Amino acid sequence: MSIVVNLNTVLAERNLKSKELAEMIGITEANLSILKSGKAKAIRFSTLEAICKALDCQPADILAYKKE
Amino acid sequence: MKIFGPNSLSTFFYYIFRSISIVLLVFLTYMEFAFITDKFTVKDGRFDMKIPLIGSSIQGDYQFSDILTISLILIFGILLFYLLSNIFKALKETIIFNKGIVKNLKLLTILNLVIGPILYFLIHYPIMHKTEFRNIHNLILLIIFGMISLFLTYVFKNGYTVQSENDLTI
Repeated sequence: MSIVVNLNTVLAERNLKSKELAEMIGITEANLSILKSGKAKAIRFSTLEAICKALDCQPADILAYKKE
Repeated sequence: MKIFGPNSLSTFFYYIFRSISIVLLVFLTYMEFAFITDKFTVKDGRFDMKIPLIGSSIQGDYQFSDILTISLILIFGILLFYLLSNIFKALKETIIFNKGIVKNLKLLTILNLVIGPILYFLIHYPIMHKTEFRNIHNLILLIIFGMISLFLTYVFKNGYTVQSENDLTI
């Protein structure tokens, strides 16, 4: 997929673990793993909003378009 | 009453169809075993085979073609009810758009649209040597069931794609 999820980078910058983020935004670790691995087909605005709020970042910090 | 999911009408039909397929399998095994071990009587060119527990009996012309026809129809019936039970087994799951139902509907389509008509013509002409074209309603019913299951296969296939996308929406 051309959309890349940079969640690992943002998490590392903030010294946060996946488990902590999953608890903060109220999704399972399994779902967060799907999102991080790029296997997810779509992301809800509500999830994106929760991630941005928890990590204090913009959607563009998490998602990027990469030409294949 | 619930139609799909655990403890639903689908669960009830799963047990019914699975039981029918098992009964037919036991019946076929018994019949073949009885023919091999000569546990039947022959009178006026017709065989008479007692069915245990029921008290009834199977009768027919004592010819290889008749016995082969009965066996083939029973095998077809076992497969049909087994596939139907598998479909209802998939429907009793919490998520009904799953791989199992697509696979079994596809097999049911093949059984009704390919194997069924082949078996019909095979029994009609090379086995029973019938000259007239009889019992065509069986063939029509097979094709109707096959067409319905063909359309259902694609409905559930699309449903499975939508379900997968929904599951992968975070």
